[in-house]
Parts: sequence; structure tokens; C-alpha cells
Amino acid sequence: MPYRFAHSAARIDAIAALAFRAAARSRLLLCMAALLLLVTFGLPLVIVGDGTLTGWVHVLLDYALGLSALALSIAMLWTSCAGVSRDIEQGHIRLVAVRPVYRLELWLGKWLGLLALSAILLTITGVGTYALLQWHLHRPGTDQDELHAVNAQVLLGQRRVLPGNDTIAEDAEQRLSELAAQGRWHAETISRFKALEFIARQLRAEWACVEPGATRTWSLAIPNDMPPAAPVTLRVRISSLSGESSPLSGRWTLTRMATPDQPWPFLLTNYSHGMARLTVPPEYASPGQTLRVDYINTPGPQSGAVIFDIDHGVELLITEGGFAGNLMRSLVVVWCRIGLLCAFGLAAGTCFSFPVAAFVSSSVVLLSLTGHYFITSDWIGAELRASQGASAASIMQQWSEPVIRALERIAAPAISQSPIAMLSDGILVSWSQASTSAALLLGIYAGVLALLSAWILHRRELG
Amino acid sequence: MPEPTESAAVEIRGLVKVFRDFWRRPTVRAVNGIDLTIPRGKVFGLLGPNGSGKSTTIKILLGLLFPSAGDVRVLGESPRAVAVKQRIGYLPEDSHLYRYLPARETLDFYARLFALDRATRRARIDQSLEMVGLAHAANRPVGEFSKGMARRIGLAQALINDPQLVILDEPTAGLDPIGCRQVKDIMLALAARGTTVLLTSHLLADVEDVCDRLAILYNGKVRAQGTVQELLTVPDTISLSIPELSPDAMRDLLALLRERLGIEPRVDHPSMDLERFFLDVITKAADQPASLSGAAHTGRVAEFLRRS
Repeated sequence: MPYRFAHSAARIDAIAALAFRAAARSRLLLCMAALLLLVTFGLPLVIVGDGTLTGWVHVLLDYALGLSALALSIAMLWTSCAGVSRDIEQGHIRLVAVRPVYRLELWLGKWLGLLALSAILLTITGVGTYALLQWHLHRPGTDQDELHAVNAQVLLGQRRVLPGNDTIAEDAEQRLSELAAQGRWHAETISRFKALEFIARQLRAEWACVEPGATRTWSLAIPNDMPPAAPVTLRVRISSLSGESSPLSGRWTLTRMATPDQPWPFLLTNYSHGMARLTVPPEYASPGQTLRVDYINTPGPQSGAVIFDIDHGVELLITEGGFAGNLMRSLVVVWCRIGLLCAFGLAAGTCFSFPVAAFVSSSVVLLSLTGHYFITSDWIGAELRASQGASAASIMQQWSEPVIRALERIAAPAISQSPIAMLSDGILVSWSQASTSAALLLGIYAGVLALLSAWILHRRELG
Repeated sequence: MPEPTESAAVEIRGLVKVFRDFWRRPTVRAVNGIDLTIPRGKVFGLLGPNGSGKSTTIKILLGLLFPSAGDVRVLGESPRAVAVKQRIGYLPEDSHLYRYLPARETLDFYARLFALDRATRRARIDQSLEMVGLAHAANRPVGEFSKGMARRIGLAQALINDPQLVILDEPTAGLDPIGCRQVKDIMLALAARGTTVLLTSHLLADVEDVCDRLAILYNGKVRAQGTVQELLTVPDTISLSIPELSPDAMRDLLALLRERLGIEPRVDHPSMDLERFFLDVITKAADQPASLSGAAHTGRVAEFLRRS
């Protein structure tokens, strides 16, 4: 029988249709779908928020949409675990495996069926969220100023430009050299990698905290491909250590690096939800321009130490798109992640029975998401033990750390940026990001899992 | 359509299957050195008590289990080759069909796995449903079927690709006598057009009715094999059937046989077997039309399985 792509596609199509049908009938998924609808439509009506329209929109996007995506992810992970394992347990696979079906076709069919189902459920969630949002925003009696603020700050897609003058890595190296010279660091107690990581974390925290009289400088490069005349906003996430002092009491200046001129002093006034914004004047916001932002925490009776957000303290936002497109692209990224979870669940179901597959896959996903915290707490524990003269880490910890780190590194592309958080923050989820997610998560990661599962299915007895 | 060839449909040489536990320790030697040759176009019966290795052998022939030792060729190829599965049909002992799929969609799903085009699928499904007497239940989920009906739809799915080799594991289990007869007729029709049929059954009468050759397994070994005639013929004895005679004529005949041949003949009245009697009753009853929810008795083999 010569291999024919059309025949292969026909078989995959048949299996995908059946997998879709089987998953759609599963009680677990039906319960999750009901929960999903309840969360999407019920949560925004139940949670009061801070009483502002912006707060309500955040509740809808962060909590309702975020929880819906989470519920759907869990449901699809477990459903996919059952995709192959239940077929093996109930013997259905015997009647498929004795047909001219390659194991890879079998796996791909199952996966594509689950992908189609998750796409439909996500579309329902997205359309529901958008409709609910529009209904709420355009109800009679909506405060027009608040509506304007929501439209200008949240319901749009803004490209984020972060400062490029990050010297934390070099500073950490230097600090470690100093510690070593002082005899305060021993490689046998804490590895160089761990020590650098911890020092970098410390330096970031130190950098974020600005005492009265201290200064900070950021360099922000506007990209050359910025759309012409696109509005550019400087956004600062800042808070005051003292409840009595204003976080905006410092002095700010903006300078064009290419054409050094007098620094332009500006004031940040509209502070809300821990953020302040400034619309950058068009003459400063030209493509390719690099801007320097200087901040002096001027000492005075009203001032106190302020803290900038460690990751996004100061940033430029370039408006490049609307909310509907951003929502769609966010859901595409979420769908790619769910697709990877489905692939992982199917792979687990290929190796184990359903309960074991569900447990193993859930554990690995959880470990990937939270492994970083384990390592950090382990590091702090090692510091304490070392200071007390005890062994730095147990053998178990020495073995588990590389595993967790590897998991974290592998999972990083899938979890590094939350599209839902970006959406609710008004940050652009670009087509490039969506297509990269699709290529990486659905193409490479799921592809590797598909080949691995097909190999296992080929090696496994199904009788 | 099966290709006429003189080579064997199935060749098994020194087949051994040892099941192992999680730690790879041997637990059961289910098949212990089987040698079998199943010629093409014949109905071959594999008999044996429970645990004799029949199902294990069949699963190895289907590529579901892997042999521990020995060589297996199915239609000239390894049973694990995907290509050979295009030419095999399989009815498992238990119904492994998707319970929520209606009968028509069940057949459509398995037909799609053979990449049959839509028109061929539709024609074959209609004919298959008609053949197994389930045309009236085409849109009922398989999960609602009785055991006999599930067996019938299982048989239909096994034949949907018009296979060259059909492997039937207990095909008549759970079927009423009409269903048994139909299945046997289908097997004979298939064999008549060159399809090889391998079946296992506990119902020895069924095997005797349809099989050209058979093998008896016990404890993973072949204990006897050959044609049915070779195995079942009682040597040095013949039976002669004649019309009913008057008592005088009978007395004269027996005296003649004793005198001329010096033998003591045994005289009895041949009786119709129960299956044939039952079928006669049902055939007469079926002439009176009535609605039914179970399987219908059509007695027809699907057209695509009749073409030679």
C-alpha cells in the first residue's frame, strides 16, 4: 500500500471527528463548560471591584476570562488524558489499531479533535466576554469620563517598550567578586549560578527602591517600525513606602538622546491603580528616537522612599491596535497553550492509565508553573543552613533542582507572558507573538510529543 | 476483491508468546511453539478450551500483541505492517464499538479508516446493514443494542473493507439460531469467492458446519489439525440411508446382510438436527409480516461481498 497523503488525511479526519465527539460527550468537559459560562457571565456580576469602570473591566478580563481559560485548560488536559488511555482500557483502540492507521495518524486525529473542541469553547468564551463588555460599557448612565479612560488605557493594544539600560547582570558579577574577595562566598556552599541569581534579585529590589534624594535613569528606544503618528504614552508603576507621602512628589525629566537638548520637565498627576501616565509629545515620539527618563526623589516634607515595579517600573506604550483584535490574538495564544496541554495529556494517556495520566500531567504542569518558588525557597533555606554551618542542600534537593529548572526552562515559552494579563493591561498581543506561540507550542513542542507518543504506541502492545 | 494466489494466507512457525509482569518476569506462556498454515480461500477453525491460546494467537496475527519468539506472516507480510491491515477484517470476541455512535456512523467511521470514498462507503454501509439485518436500526446507538445485534454490527464492520482475510473471534456467540445460520452462510459465501476466514468458536457444531480445516489448541500447543473430514471420519464404518421399508422387507434385508457379508448392521431413524428444525419454524413464521425491534432475517449477503 503506497503512502498517500489524501488517505492519511481522511483517516486523521475520521479520528479527529470521533475524538471531538467523545470529548464533547465527556461529563468532565460538560461540567467544566458549565463552570466556564458561570465564571464568564456570573463573576463580573458578583464581584464589586473598586467601583470604577476600569476596575470592573479588570475583573472581567483578569478574573472572569482568566479563570475561564484556566478552567478550560484543566478540563482539556484531563479530557486529553482520557483520549488514548480510555480507548486502550475499553478496547476501542483494538478495532482502530487493526486498521491501516499509522500510530502518528491516530495520535494526530485525537489531538486535532481536541484542538477543534477547545477552539469552539474559547470562541464562545471570547464572544461572550466581548458582548458582556460592550453591553456593560454602553449601558445608559455610564460615566463618559470613565468610559474614555477605559478606552484610552485598557481597551486597546499598545506595544510595550522597556528600558534597555539594564546592567543588573554585570553588577551582580561585580558584587559576587567583591563577596568572594571578602571571603563571604564559597562555591561549595552555594553554587555560582545560584549566588548570581540571588544577588541579581537583590539588586533589582534595591534599584526599584528610591530613597529621598536619590535618582534613577531609564533609556527607552522607540522602534523604527512604529506606526506613523501613533500615540505614545509613558507609564510609570510606582508606590510610596509611607502612606502619608505622595508617590508622585519627585521631579521627572524627558530628554531626546539623538538631539541632546534641554531636558523637558514634566509632572505626573493622574495616578490611579498604582500607575501614572504621561502622553509623550509628538516631537519626542518619533520612530528610532531614544528617550532618557530621569527621576529625582526630591527630599522634602511630603516625600518619602518610593518603590518602582521591578519588571515594569517605567515603560513606553505605543498604541498599535484595538481591543477586539487584541482579544482575538490573546485567545489564539491561550488556544496554543491549551493545544500544548492537550498534546501533553494525550502523551501521558499513551503511557499511563487515565487516573495516573491525569495525576502525572497535572503534577508536571503544576511543577512547571511553581518550580521557581520551590527553588527560591530552597535557596533561602540553603543560605540559612550555610550560615549555621550545616550542609547547603540535601542530595534530594541537589537532584530535584536541575529537574525543576529544566522543566521551568522548557515550559518558559509557554508560560512566560500571560496573554490575558497583557490584554487587561492594554498591552498588544501581536500577530507575531501569536504565530510564534503557534509555531513553537503547536508545531515544535506538540510535534515532539506527537512523535514520542507515536513511538510509544508503536512499541506498546494493545491487545 | 481478494486476489487469487496459491500462497498461504497465514503462516506461523514456532510461535511463542510469554506474558511478563511489570518487572519483566515471565508469568504465563500463553502460546508455546505453534506451527500453523492457513491456506487462502478456506474457512479455518481454531478450537480449544478457555486459556488454550486462541485469542493470543489471533491478537498476534493482528499485530496487537508481539510474539516472544517465532515467525508470523499474514498475507505474506509482517502482521505489524500497516499495509497488510488494508486487507484484513476483524471481529473481536467482545464488542469494542463506541457505544454512543449509531450503527450507520459506526460503520462509516471504520470505513473512513480505509479511506473509502463517500459513495463506496454509503453503498457498502447500506448493503452491510441489510446483510446483518440491522437496516431498521441504522440510526440507533450501538450502546442500545442487544448482544446479538452488537455481534451483527461487529460483523458488518469487520467486512466493510471487503477483506482478503477475515478473523472472527467467537462470531456466533450471543446470536440466535437464525443469526448463527446467517453468519455461517456469510462465511461460506466469503470462502466461495476466495476470502480466507479464520474463526474461533466454542460451538463445535458451528465449526463443523463451515470449516474446511481446523486446529485444536490446548495449553498453547496445537494438539490436532487437518481437514474436518480427516479429523472426524470414523474409520471402517459407513452409513447408508434408504426410504422407509415394510417390516418384512427390512427383515429380509438384514438377513441378507448377515448371510452375505457376515456383519450385524445397526438400524435407526435419521432425525433432523434441531437447528434445521428451528430454522424451518422461523422461516414459516417470518412469512407473516410484523414489526420488530431486533435483527431481521434477510438471508442476503451484501452485494459487494458477492462480486467475484
